Amino acid sequence: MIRGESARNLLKMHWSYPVYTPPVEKDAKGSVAVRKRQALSREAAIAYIAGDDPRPLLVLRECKVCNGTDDALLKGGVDNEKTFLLSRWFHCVKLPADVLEKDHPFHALFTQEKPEHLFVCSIDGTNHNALESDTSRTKLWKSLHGLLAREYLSKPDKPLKRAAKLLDQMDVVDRRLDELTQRRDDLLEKDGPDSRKLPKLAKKIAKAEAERDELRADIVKATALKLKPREEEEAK
Amino acid sequence: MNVTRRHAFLLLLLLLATLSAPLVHAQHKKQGAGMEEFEEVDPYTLGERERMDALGYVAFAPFPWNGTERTVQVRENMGGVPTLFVETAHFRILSTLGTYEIPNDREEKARFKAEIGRLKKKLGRIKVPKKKVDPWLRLHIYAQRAEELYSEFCKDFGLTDESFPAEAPFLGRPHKLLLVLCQRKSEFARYTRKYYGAEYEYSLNWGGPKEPMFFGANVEILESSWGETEDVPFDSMLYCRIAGGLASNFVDGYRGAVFSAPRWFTTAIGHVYIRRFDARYSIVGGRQTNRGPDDDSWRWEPRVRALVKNAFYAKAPATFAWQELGEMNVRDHMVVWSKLEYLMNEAEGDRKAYLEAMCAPPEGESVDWQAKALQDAFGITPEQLDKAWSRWVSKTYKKR
Repeated sequence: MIRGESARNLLKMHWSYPVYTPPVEKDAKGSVAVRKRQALSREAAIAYIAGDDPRPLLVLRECKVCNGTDDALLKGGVDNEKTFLLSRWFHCVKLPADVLEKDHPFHALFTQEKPEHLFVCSIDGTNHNALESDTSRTKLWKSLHGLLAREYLSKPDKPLKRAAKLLDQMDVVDRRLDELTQRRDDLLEKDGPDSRKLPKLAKKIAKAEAERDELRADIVKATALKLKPREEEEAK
Repeated sequence: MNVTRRHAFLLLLLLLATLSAPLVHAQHKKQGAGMEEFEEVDPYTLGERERMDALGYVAFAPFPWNGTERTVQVRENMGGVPTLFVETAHFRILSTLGTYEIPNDREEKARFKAEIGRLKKKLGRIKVPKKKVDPWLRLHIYAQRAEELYSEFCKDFGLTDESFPAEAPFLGRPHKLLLVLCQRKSEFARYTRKYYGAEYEYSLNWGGPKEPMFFGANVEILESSWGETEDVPFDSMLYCRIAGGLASNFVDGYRGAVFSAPRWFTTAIGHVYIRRFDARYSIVGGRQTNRGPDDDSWRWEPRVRALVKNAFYAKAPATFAWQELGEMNVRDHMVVWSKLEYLMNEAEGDRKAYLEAMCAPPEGESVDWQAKALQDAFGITPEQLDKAWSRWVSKTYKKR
């Protein structure tokens, strides 16, 4: 079974790909000095890649040896849907293979003897948990669950189950919608806009579209978890 | 576990694998393969000036890229991935495309044979692998395609070097066009993040009054959004995207304009050159419309004929009023493509004057100046265009 377009769109990993731009330094004459590339501190690197996104971080390092793809996170032949769904509660960041070079701005995140390919952590860098390509799915999900439980006010279990059900329903609606729009387009081309079959078909399409939109809204609602307030916010 | 339960368990595992397959296929396909290293020196020209001249090349990297940075910084900003650069007569091209295994697709195979044949004519005897296209050969093929597209466009609209001032020789702009071809989504996103302020997933057209026109795309997104990957001509799909993007850029940046041509015209230009290359992979609303080998909806001619027969198509005045791409459905895409084909190949008139008028900053109401452009260049009104085009379609296009 191939997932329909709506489900596929919801099951995408949304990566961000930060590229460090150093602050511009001007001398007294207004000339801009080009700074040599250099590594930031671990704290500064985490802060830069986290940006304004309050979600916990899921950081993947591309790798020249294992092809720089999502291998460490997604496995061929197993159920990745749960991973895709869990990822929506993380700010997923993909860093390039050359992050291992000592002068790369984000190098401080990978200074271990055997640098990890994937880790999750809170946005201040705490609760760091390394994951590797040979990590079992069960361990991976347990680790993702663990951090989510720390960071969010409620656990993701129920939303996950609900989302999986809604995705199945979405596939059914997508298939129906595809078939109906195809029939409408064929009719419009073959018989023109005066075809007697069109009004009935238009009603069915409108109904299917409304169902699809409702399912989309349901998924958004079902998977909306609230983050716990951070200590510094509470202190305010 | 008894036999029945074991079978049920195995079936469940199989089902789970099948369920996840379409989503992981692209990633799974190359697991363990490693990121491909590119040869330092081009094995086809050996970096020799004479051979580079034969291909019309100005330089391989390093060279200034976009006015502010050189190729070495661009590569660094993309994550230090293996990257090839070439500067041709009208383009600066960056490629991270890896080795491509030619699939069992008749059209694509024949096209590669012809394209490599044209390269051989320029380079003399070169040894070319039969079933694979390595990164350097891909760069040469894309450079050849880009330059051929540029020449085709100029020929179609009667443009020569003399049509443009010496200080703006590239279709009326001072800068060469930038073309970025990426293997992975990540390096493409890093490029657009760094130079255009946001991460783009599929492709990007960009240009400003003082910056070069840019088009870039990546192949990973094409592979991952396609269910089946066996024997799918992804290179043709990628180039269709490139041909459409470059052709739109020719118009969108013409004589220093910044996206002032009507959207329907830019879209139709893209369709013309995409469909000349491989009509199977037309792009509508940013997406390829082909759903696989059994889908023949890409055969637009009989569909346009049926629309004309039923008089169910957007009339020219309505087309001239469109402001946004989102106002066009698939039928509109087919119709504007066909009308432009008619104007470019059949109608008698001054195609160069039409291009100049359509790309110039608009004066007055959109519908009025487009009607004037049509009248001045072809001597017909929008209504007369619809009539003449309908007659041509009925006479030329076959029934389904």
